[in-house]
Amino acid sequence: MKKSDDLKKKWAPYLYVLPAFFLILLLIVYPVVTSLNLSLRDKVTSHFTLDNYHYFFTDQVQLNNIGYTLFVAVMTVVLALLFGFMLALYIRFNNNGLSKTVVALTILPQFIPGLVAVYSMMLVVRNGGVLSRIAQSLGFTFNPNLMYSANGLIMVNLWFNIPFAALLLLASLANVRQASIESARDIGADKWTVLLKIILPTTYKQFFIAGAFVFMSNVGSFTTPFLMGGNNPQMLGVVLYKEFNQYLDYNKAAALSVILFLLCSLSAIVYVIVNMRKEKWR
Amino acid sequence: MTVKLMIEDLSKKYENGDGIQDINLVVNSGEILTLLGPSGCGKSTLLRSIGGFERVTTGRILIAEKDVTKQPPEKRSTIMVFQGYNLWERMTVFENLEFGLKLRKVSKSERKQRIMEMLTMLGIEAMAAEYPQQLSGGQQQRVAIGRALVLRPEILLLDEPYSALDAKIRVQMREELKKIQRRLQITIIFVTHDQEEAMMLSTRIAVMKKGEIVQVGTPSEIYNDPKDIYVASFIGEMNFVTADTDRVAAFRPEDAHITSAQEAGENTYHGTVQQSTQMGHYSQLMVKLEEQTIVLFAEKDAFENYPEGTDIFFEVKKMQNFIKGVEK
Repeated sequence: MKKSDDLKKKWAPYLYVLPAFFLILLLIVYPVVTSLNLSLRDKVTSHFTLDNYHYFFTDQVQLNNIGYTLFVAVMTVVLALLFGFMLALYIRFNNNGLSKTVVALTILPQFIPGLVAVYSMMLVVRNGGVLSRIAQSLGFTFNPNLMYSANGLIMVNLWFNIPFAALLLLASLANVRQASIESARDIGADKWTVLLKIILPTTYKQFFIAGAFVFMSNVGSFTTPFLMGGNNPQMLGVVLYKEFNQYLDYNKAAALSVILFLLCSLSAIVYVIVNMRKEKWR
Repeated sequence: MTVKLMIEDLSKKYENGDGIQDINLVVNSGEILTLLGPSGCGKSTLLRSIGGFERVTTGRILIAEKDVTKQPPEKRSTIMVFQGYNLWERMTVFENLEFGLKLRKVSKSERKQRIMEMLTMLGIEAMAAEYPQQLSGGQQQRVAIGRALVLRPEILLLDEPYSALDAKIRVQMREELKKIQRRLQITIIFVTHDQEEAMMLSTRIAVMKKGEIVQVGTPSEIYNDPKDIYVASFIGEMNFVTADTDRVAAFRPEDAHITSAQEAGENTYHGTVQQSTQMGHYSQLMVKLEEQTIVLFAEKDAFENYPEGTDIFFEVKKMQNFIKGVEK
């Protein structure tokens, strides 16, 4: 009797973990391994080769695509963090009707399907779109030139990511004790000093964490660049789609997915390092 | 005696109707003034208004004859020690003290000298390199005081600074504060709900009730001549015996002495001892009168002579009268 109880205790945790474990094995580990394998094979002979990777790092068009992708992703990260932080600061330190509305608006984009958002945005900003028509009705010509450009992509990315970054940063701002700020003000610190010496030291970790998330979701993004991006340079998500569906080059597509995966792991590493960092004061 | 702080017709109303009103107060240079009252009486609001953390609704605040009513905390020459100490947990003890000096552009060598002097005075110089979380409550409290004093404020504001400490350390910290105050001749405004603490520390006490100051005076004035029933019952023990329909007679437990039926005079009461306890250097007798139970303090051996259930006569030497229903 007792023995079977012991046995139960011993095996119960594994039983709970098992379904998730198999799902991960099936849906993550297996595809990753096959992609990796595929990316290292020649398209025709199936022999081992590094040519698929070589192509992406030597071909000028592909190098431009990688650079373009990084540019869009990094700009999105920087601007989303900047504006997100300003928004979070406003929400944290103002408690009025407007700040409550802002909080509600911040959560809103999470409930709008990406495709719908991108299409509506396109209707507004494209040349001849809503903005242009409003301008025209006021008697002058205005074309935002945001379609098929990096600016347009970044702008739409920001639409999704500023609220997201703001929510993450807001969570860390909640850890800044009002009392810490008051005592700093009391001994003569102005608002800037409070920001630099009290608020930022408490929240800087969250910047890296929010930045890592924003970077990951944008470096491999597809919907927005597919709908709004130009033909050259292209974001890697679109390149991947074309290698797979138009050129039917599964080996190159696999190599590109591995490259994307590595780019994402870069930010994952940042995330882990920042989280693991021991601080003297703790 | 010079006036350090002057408050004129101050009021601060919150949206929910709480707050303080009709506050007039003068604090002299080198004084320890205590704002005393139960929680919710507005004493912290008044202190925070003096420190600049609350935007007042009406009235003026003058520090050293300068109107500071509209100035933010960083522009005022007051420094506050908060209830939870509010030390910056990412800075060492030394850095906590240094922050304000840096903002005042004090040179590095002078900073170091002033900080070490302060830490030595407070007896925590060995902890300079430690972080606040590594210190005990009493040590954190000292750091908080040091952080304020190192900036040489005109007025030091303390918001229930000892409420988180245990009783023994609390007494010790009060002694230290008094010593420091005497040494630096600094003006202190101290908020507490602990009447014993107020009696012990203060040059003068301002008793507060429902957002107003009821009485201001030295501890002995407040104790011996309370203005109304509220002050009388808040400070120390007070027995109330009904005199007539609209008046209440009151006396302190130590202002009665035990007598006999033969010697009964004008202010003599008769009752039954309900409980008799030796409290150390004195005895405490709970005596049942006709309507209520009162407390007497008597000499050390009285508890043996008056066990529970015995009859007792006592004469009140000092009786005070209050008007009933002064409570708003």
